[in-house]
Amino acid sequence: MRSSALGAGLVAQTQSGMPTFRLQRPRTAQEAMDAHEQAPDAVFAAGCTDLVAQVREGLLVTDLISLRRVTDLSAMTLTDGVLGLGPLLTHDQGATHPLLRARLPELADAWAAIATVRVRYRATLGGNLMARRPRYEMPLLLASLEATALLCRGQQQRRAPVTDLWSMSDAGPELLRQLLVDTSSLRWFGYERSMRPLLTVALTIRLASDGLRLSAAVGSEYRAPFLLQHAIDEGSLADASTREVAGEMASQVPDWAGDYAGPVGYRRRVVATLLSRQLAAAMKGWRA
Amino acid sequence: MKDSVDLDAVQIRFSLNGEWQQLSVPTNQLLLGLLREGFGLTSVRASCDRGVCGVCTVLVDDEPVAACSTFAFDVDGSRVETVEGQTTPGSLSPVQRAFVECGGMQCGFCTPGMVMLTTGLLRHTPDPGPELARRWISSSICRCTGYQMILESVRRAGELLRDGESRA
Amino acid sequence: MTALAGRDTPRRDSVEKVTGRARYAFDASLPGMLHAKVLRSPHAHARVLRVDAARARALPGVHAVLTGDDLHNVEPGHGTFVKDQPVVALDTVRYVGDVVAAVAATDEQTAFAALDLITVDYEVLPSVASVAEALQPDAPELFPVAPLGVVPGYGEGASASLRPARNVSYEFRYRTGSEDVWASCEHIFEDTFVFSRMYHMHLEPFVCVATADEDQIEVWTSNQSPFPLRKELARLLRFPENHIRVHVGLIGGGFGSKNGCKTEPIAILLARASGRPVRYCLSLEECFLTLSQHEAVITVRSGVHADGTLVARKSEVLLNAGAYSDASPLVTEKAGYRMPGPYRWEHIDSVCQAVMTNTVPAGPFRGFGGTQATWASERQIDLIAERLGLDPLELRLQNLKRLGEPFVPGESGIDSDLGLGLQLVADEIGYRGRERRPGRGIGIAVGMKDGGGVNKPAQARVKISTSGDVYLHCGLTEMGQGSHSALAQVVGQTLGVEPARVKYVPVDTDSAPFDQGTNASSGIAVMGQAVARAAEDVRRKVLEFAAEWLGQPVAGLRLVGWSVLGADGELHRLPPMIMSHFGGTGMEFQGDGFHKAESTHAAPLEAPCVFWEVGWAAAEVAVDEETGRISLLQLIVSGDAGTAINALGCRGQDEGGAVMGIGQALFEELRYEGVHLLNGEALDYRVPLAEDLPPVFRSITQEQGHGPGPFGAKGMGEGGFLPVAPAIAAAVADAVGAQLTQLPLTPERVLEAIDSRPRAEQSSAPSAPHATALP
Repeated sequence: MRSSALGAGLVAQTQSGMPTFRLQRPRTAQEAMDAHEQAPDAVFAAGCTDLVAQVREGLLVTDLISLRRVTDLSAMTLTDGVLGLGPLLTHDQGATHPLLRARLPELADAWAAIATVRVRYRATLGGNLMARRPRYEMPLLLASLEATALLCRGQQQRRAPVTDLWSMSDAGPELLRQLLVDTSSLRWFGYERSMRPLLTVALTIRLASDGLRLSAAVGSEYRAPFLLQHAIDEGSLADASTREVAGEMASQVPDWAGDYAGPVGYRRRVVATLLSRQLAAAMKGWRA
Repeated sequence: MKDSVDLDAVQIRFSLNGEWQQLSVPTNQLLLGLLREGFGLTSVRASCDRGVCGVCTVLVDDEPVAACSTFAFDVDGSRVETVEGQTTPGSLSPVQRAFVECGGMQCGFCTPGMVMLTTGLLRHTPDPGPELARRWISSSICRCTGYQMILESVRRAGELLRDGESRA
Repeated sequence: MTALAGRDTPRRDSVEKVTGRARYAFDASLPGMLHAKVLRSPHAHARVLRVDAARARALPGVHAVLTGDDLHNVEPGHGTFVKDQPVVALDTVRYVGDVVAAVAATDEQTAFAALDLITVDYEVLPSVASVAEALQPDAPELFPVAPLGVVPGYGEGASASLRPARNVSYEFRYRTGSEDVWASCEHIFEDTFVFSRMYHMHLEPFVCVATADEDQIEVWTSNQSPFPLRKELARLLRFPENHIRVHVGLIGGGFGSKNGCKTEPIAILLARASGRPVRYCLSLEECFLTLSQHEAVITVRSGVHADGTLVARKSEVLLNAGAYSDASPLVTEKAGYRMPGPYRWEHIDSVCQAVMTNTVPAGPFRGFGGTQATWASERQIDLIAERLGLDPLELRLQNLKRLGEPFVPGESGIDSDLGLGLQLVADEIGYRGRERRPGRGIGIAVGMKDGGGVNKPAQARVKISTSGDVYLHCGLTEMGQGSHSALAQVVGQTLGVEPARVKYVPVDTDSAPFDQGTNASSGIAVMGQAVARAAEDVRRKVLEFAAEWLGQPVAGLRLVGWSVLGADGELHRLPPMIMSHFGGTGMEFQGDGFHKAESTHAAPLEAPCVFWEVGWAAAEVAVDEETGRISLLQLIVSGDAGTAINALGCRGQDEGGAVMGIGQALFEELRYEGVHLLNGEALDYRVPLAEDLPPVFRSITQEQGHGPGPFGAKGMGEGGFLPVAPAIAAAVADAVGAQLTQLPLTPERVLEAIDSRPRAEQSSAPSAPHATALP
């Protein structure tokens, strides 16, 4: 629902009641950027699964750039250990991609678990990220993996950490060109979603020069996600201290993370539990 | 080659239940309205109207898709199928027959969507097994049955199809 | 007895449903039809000072606008007993989502544009969100002026009143037995329970198409009770009832919500003002803002003996009725009445109040007060068992009413063997002698509600044409429960024809026999009796005709197919007989049937209950003691159909109800933060999906044979829902010793309950006593 134009009340806007819009259907990323330059306020659309929800929430579309015919934004690449993910990969395409299954099967598994079957075939990685909905999961997985996003406004490009995509930017619509995940220092990745939608945790463990770097992205249904980080000596991540490490990371859960479904004290407790289980699983894999 | 900017309307060509159609549609035309009002296919209904409930599920190029959340211009060049295309006079598809036999419905509002979802599943994986069937059926809401009889219908549909029935 | 014709066959409307040909109100369409959209209040409580819709009216494509200023010849409010809900807001809006204005336009886009041109001046008032807030002495009064309200007559022990206190629209009381027995109780326990609030989530939204001019009103709607709707529209719109015609086709789910006025008044008034048909269909987001289940706070005080004999129960039930009464007085009555549960008490004292708050109106929801009552009653039985050191199953078996025992003095006797059903589910899940494993537990529960409606008349007509085609006319609507199939089977069985030969005539209030509505699981047990009698009546008339024609005594004749078997063993075909007697166009035979429970003042609700709807459940869970997460491992549910008219139908009702129970137990709820609904949207409102089914899920349809309906049938549809949440909560208690008293059983609440266990139990070994062996 949206507010009426004069603030008199709520209106149950539907997409069947939206006005017509100017439509462009570029075939390449460059054409998409050119189209965007001509219509800077144009909305980008791929699978449209989230777009109709945005229309119902009040989005007014006067220009739409449909990316469904674009052929060069759905590749997956691996260069010097950096995984490149095309934003137009559907969830099904991404999760079953032979390159991902070979290089980072844990991400493939996590990606395979999200969303309904309809959405998996239609909705895209880029759409899932650019929707900025707290309960969507790809932003969490990629933030934990410290992914970088390549974004364009017209001909101008910028890089930004995926965490920047957690909230709507002031810059207006941008075209997401690629996601980059550096897998070279990656030692472990796992996604715990058994308590969804209440709470999910994606954990990445990387080799750092002085030990290990832990990066956990925590998601819920109402609040923006947040990142918990920790650095330790490799040697000290023994069984006994997984609880300590998890506890330390959980203490970073911000106060604003509490909501209707779970107050912050409860969330810290469960994050600590889930993280310590993930760390224990990581340790098992390590020795093996 | 760059597409010219389309103002308000767009030409599309798509196959609907096996017959090719060519027409001009406004850019804001949704597949749901096109099928329902444009072509009189009233099996395609809306409930949540936002891609979550699955009531409006149709097949586009063999994949289940929410018609309420799909623009007509996005089916240009595609094959679209609804439940009306599954029925020949006096005969039901194996999937439809399985739902009738196993009582996989009560109020029936979710049924066309469930039938198309199941049809898509069995094309994708003719012998899906209970886990995959459950995964697919979890894409659609049924408020009446409690799902067990729907899952039995899916299993039975798979049997009927694998037994060499002609239509699917 | 031999199985009924059609018992194990598919429901009759399955083909139209799998082919998409089924017709719902959603599909209704008329030439020139306009689309209605409404403007809804952004405030939970505010005076409406001014609505300016002039620019909306002037917008090309807008054919009618409706505001509170246009309701001169309309009654101020509608509702079941308390008529407090206006068609559109008059001088006050009472919840976020309350309708302030409505427009009808040639298309949806224009309608939305019109809404954007309306201005409203509000004066915001303080609001109340919860029962506790609304009952505060200084709480703002939602209805300073008393709306029109009625209290029906009640029988022995029952009474009700309007507006007994500020923000309470209706109160029901029931008492039986002597207060003196409290003194004899060896233990008295008082506990408070909280029941959550769900949305019905029927997949077909609230929708209708209406035509109206100064003479006639006609509406095609998704409504469970077409005749009460017609009556209320006549009163509301000050229009002759026989000039209002209501059509109901198939209904895409109701679960109680589609009762009374919903979309119809606005559609009718816009149709009249525009001179065109109007379709008013709510989006799901609007449906969330239209009706809900009642959340409840229930305080139960029970007096017992040390050996577990139940003696006295005093209950106070506070229902959150939301901003308008809708049918809350009826739910209030039933929630109070059902507090004793299926148990024997010497003294019962129940009071239930419908409390008004600035949230979405609450109304009938499957279970109808029985779910709230069962939650509190069953949970307290478990708490009593724990405190007395008794096994929860044995405590129940000890106190369950026996077959035939009246529910309360003046009431009908219980028509199921309650203990038998409970043992059945307990045995099925392996309750007795179960293996004790850390973090795992099993619980059982039983829920019961009076079924068949109160004082409910039912009428039916059966017609047979010359060629033997059968028509069934009755006002029962089909919303998935399978009533049309079952009733056609009753006719088929009585007449000796295939049920497929029976046409269920679409419900049209101009021609269907009057009926009070499809509710209370009454279809087969109440309407079924009227239908059986109508079929018997027409059969008798056919045989009397044949007797006279053949010159044989009627007693010796039998109807076989569409022929008459004479005493001489000769088969006489009816069509030639009929044609010879009546001439070229033949004739149609017609029979009527009527059924109603006898009214008597001795019964608390003025008529004894027609049948008792019972649901038994057994659940097994695993509880993660570090996160509070519950994994449902097994769920066994059972209902007693009396005699199953249609086996698939009975099973479907119990399984559907059980899965709704899983949602209520574990996660489904409307989340209100103050007066704001957080999750009134498809993505955010979580309902059970196929993946939420436990690995073992079984429903057992008992046929104990004691039902009053045709061939011994009883109603089903609500029983399966009642015991599921209590059974799961009991399983959690069995697993980790944590007793939860509030729904849903979120991980956070489970963890908190685990933390609150008495010190001795804070290990993973369960504290509940081991099951005792069968004697």
